[in-house]
Amino acid sequence: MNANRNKRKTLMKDFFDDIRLSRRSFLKASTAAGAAVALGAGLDPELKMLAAASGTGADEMGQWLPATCQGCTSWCAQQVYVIDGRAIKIRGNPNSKVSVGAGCPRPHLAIQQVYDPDRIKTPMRRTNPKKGRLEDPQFVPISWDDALNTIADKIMALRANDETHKYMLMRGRYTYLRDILYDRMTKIIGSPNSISHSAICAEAEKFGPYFTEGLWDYRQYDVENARYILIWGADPLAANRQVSYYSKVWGTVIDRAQIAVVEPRLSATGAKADVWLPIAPGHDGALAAAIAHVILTEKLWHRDFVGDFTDGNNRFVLGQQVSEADFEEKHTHGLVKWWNLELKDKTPEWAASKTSLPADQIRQVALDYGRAAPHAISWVGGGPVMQVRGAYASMICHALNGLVGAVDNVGGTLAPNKVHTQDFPGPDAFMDDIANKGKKHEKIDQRGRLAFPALNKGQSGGGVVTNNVADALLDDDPYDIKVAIAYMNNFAFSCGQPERWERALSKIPFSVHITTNASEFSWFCDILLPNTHHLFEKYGYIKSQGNGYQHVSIMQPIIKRVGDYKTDESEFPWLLAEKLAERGFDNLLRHYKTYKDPETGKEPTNSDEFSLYALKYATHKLWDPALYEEGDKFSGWEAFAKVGVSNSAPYPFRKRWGKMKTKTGKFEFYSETLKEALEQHAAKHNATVEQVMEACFYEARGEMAFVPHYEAPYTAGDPQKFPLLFVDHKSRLNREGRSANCPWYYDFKDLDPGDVAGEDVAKINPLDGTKFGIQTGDRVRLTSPTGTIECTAKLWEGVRPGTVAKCYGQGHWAYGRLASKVFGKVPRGGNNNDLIPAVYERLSGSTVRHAGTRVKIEKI
Amino acid sequence: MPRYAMVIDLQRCVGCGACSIACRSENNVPDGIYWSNKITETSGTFPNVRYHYIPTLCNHCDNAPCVRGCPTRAMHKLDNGITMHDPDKCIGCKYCEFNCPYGVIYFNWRNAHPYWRDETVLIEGCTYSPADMTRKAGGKILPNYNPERDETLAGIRPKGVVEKCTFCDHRIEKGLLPACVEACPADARIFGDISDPSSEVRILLGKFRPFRLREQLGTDPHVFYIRDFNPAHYQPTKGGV
Amino acid sequence: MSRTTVSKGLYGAWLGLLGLIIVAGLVAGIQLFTKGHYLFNTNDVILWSLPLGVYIFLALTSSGLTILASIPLVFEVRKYEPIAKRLVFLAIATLLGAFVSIGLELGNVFHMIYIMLSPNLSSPIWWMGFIYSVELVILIAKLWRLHIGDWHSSLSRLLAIVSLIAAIVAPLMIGSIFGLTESRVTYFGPVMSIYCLLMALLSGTALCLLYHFIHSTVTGSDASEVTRGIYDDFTRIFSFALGTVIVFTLLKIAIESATVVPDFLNYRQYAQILGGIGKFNTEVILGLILPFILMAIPSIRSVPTARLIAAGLTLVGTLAMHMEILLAGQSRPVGPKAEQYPEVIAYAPSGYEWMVLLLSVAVVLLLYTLGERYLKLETAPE
Repeated sequence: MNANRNKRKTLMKDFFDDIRLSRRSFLKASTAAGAAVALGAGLDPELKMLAAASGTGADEMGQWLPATCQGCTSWCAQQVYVIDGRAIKIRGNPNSKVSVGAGCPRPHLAIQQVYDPDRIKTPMRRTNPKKGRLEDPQFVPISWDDALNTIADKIMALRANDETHKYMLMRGRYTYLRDILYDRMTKIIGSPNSISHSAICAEAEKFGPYFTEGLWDYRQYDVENARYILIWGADPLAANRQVSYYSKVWGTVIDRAQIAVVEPRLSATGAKADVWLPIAPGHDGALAAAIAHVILTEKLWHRDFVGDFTDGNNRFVLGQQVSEADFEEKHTHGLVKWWNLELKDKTPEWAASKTSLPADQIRQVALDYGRAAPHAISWVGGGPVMQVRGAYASMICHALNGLVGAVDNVGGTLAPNKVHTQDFPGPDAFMDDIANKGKKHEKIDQRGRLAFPALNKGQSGGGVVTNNVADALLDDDPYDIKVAIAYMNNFAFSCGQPERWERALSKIPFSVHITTNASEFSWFCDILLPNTHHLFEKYGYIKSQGNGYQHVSIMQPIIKRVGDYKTDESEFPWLLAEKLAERGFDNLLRHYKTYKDPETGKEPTNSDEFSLYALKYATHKLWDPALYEEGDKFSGWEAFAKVGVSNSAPYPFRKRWGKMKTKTGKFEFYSETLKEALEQHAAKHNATVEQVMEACFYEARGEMAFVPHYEAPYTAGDPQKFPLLFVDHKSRLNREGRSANCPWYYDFKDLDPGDVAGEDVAKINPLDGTKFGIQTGDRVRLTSPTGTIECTAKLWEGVRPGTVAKCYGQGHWAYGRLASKVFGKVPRGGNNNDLIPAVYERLSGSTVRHAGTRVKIEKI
Repeated sequence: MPRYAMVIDLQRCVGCGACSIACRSENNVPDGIYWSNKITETSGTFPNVRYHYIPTLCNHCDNAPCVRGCPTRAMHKLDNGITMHDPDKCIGCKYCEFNCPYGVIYFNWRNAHPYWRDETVLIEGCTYSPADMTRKAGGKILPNYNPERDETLAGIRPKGVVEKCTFCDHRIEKGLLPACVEACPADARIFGDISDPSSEVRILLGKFRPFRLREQLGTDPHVFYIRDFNPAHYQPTKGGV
Repeated sequence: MSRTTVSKGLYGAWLGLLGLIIVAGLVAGIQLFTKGHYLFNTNDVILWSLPLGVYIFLALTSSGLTILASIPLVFEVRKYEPIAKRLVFLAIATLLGAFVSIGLELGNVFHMIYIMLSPNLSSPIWWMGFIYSVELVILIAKLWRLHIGDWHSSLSRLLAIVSLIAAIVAPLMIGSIFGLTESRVTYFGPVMSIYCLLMALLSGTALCLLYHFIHSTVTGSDASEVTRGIYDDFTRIFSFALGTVIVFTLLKIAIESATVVPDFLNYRQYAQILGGIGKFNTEVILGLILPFILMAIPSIRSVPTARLIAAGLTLVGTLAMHMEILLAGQSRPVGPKAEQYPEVIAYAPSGYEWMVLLLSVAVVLLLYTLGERYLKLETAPE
């Protein structure tokens, strides 16, 4: 029977093949080889990209359409296979030089997100006036019109009472259309309170690079040319960032480079590493100091970048002070000061006593790393830095790149390439007196106060302190919030000590959540608005770097929307602006109408046009050949939209040597930039830098505050009562904590080394299993000073004795039928954030994730 | 006639499992059933520990025990070497699954995708039931149902019969690579015609010493593994007494 | 009340009970066909469970009965002719019970037609199915010949010979279903085939003895001198069968415990799923060795109740032995299945599996009952 069917099909196929033979053979080459490369060199680059973009075999029923995955912040360019407006499957977009046609497990899960039955399909209104964890909101469906009218009325009331600062916008996952809602709308309404989620993510990671080389950003790593890769608390084969690119090349990279992974649990990257350094959590700075010490005493620093002793004799000898005059630096600043202040006594033996790693191993790693200079990457991830005293760990781990000359160098650590997107028109002309007055109030998150320097790009209060908003709300300090809108965030799940958020959100009289699922955050809101899914249903764009490039990858609506969804960052603000205009406040709508279609010059007349024009506007220089600057070139919008991604020019190596955006223009081992920032911050509060250090729980005093150095970890919990250190890590299936309602998440949970399918496991070393009488499969309770969770135990050799490693992502008590055990009531598994106290790396404003708390484990 | 085979380069493999999840979407595979799977192992004791990962799938053996034992020839070999199954002929005796040395065959104990057949709604009036979502999206049982799978095998296999990897025969027929190969971000899977001396698989098999799973059973599997998941460097040593 | 009324009442109650079980079994069967076999406590590691064990047990018992029947019918030992027809009938009824069990175990029994349309001659399952089907037809034909009094025609003899061949080959085929599974070393090889043949003889003989005892008790018919002689002989055959299986089992246990092939080490670990007495399996001791001891002592052997106990223990024991071998070889996941399943799978039959057992046994018993009533099973040639 099948044979007959196949035969019939073959006949049909042959028939059609004759008709479209030329097209078929052309396209088949591209798909069968899986890359556009096969198309030969003679073709126009854009034609090549278009061919790879359409990339559909002659017999395929659907089309591959470009998209962007935001399952983590790798932000990879992908393609979705669409049949009749329905998403079927996903693959990497071969046109990106950043994600190089690759993906990872995450994009596939997005299909189960977009078709999640528990997505909200309509705007919803809370009918239970009481708010709280135990109060069922009793949501009922309402129309968009109803919802928008209510929101507009609330905003107009704020304006009427001159308290527009009591409006707050909270941002979670965003695209670069964010400014429409996050910045412009907040400002034009008249509030300073646009609160991003950045500080619960990675700001401390950017601290080190900024105060050494003037780069407040993630880095990209030239792994293919590296000879040594030293990875600190990052897991590039599983999580953040450029998982796609690193997965693609890692098989080649490990041939060429030695890889050492510093992390208390065996990660996916650790599994394939040459050296696993299961450090005692929080002591990364000690290891980095010892590595720096060995590099200097063994004269392994990169002289082309760092310089040398004037007479060539190495005076970096254990315990010896060195005179600054004897050393002539090239592209760095303050090496000798750093040695004298921090490094001269930091031997591997000393570090061994802190890190619990063997001194021999530390020395060997240091020697191998130093000998690989300048192709020696020190890769700073969240592990060592998202800690109470993580800022200086961020500096000292990153400073190793300076010693070996890997900064901005081949086989080293790179900044993002330039891409030519453009900002939206400014809001100033549309801000009235109310708005200008409102915006002058202190921001709700208390940033910039003495104990919250949040030195984003060196500015006191320049960065957000996301998780502190809960406390600010609870204390009405600086004031109360009356109207809040939040989108694609879930602070009542994703922030440490989320219980504070539950109480804080219950206090806000009117709050709106734009979300795909009724999440923990939604539980406390008055109106829920059904959001589009980024990968399939909205306009947007992102920028992301890797492989020596930066790409701009766009999102477009490519499938049929099943529900009455509207896009958070474009459709919603437009529709709200219309409602506000109806109420006599048309500034916002007038502002949005300035986002004209670059092709036709027409101003938008509805939310759909607005979304499209905004995207075209922001990416104008990328696709308009008349405005071409560098990188990929397109013939126009249509071609760009079809390809879906634009690549920057290749990386200009060593262009920043001597021209870094630090105070000295050099790579600062003694950070004049940080000194200035701290002194400015202190001066603002009539305080000293030492008082700032004290208020921020740092040990550094005097000059130590300006050099990268080791600080002992600051961890909650009495070791007697809480014998184990808690190690949080990320899952390669986590779509930022949003995949817990996908059936596949559970079927494949064991893709995280040590984890178990269908379970949420706390991993402990078998030695601790014996010590605490716990076996694999036991139900256990983990308790920290701030909370308790229940999950399953797993004894695993890949965990440092004395620690509990647990993957973040489960423990939802809302979000959906699979995510929770009983929706609205009982969590499935445990949320790590319940254990982690709401403490901060205050210099950057970051939320603490690592070495933050001790826990005890009990069998239930 | 080509003879299809796969080479899996363990050094390139990063153990991410994208192959297995992509396989689920390509082949509408039910939860709990893994056409594409893995064998993992954590070896050593702390701190000298590593984790190893071997991707697995149907080996499309030349001497397939599943084919030999099947009473109705529902499990059969195609000319191109693919071990194929015809659910119409399957009596559900599960002998193929019993016989398979590689644990790659699964039985449909129930109507596939019970999750997506559910008609319950989480928040009345505000969210969907799974079945409703499928209807609204325009799918079939699954909202993301791939109709192309149905071209050579029941798109979703009925209860009472077995199912397993088919090397994506429906894609190969169109000159496309199997879904797991296309989805592999690390290019760890290399697919091709082993009867063609110039094929990539033959080139790699000539370059490395490949191994296959449970070769001693004489099944002649056509999934080959080369290199190591962790080819770590180490300091040369003679050990000591 | 007269004795007849009482027995009539009992008879009715008996039929009612069987009917009830059969109805319940059919309901369970319909559930299995509509909802699927997840109603069994099986999974992709333990694929074959109690219903398959019951099938093997009943099918082998049927073969054993056919072999016993061949003593008078093929080898023309005339003195056994009085029980030949009954043995043939019991074999048919028992085989039908086996078919009920396998029918409810198969995922899609409606595709069985492909056994004929699309045969695979290299498949032991195909051969097993084919041979048992042939055997059923031949046995029915033979019963028909006997029923019409044709005991010695060449056709009748041919039928008997073919059925004997089938009854010998079919157990070998059941054994080779396991014996050809290279991937499960503990099953692999000719041992399982020989084992199945011996087990067929054992359980067939045990059933024959048990049946005789119950039948004569229920009907109150005092066995004639002739019949008593026959059953004395059969008891001796029973002892021999027990002895052979014991030797075989001990040998098997000895070899299994001597080897260090990992599969056997695992197998050994789970070979006492049904419990052990000391180092030995409960069912081997209670279902094999104890009956053998009872039957080896002449003074006990001659007591009918002892025969009843020995035969009963043996029947339960053989089912248990089949189950244990079946489960011990499956209790650990193969290859990547170890990723999703625990290292060891525990198994206890679900209600549905017990219902399959009850239904199969009830069908067998109902057939026995009706057969005794309507088929004049004690006829012998003049």
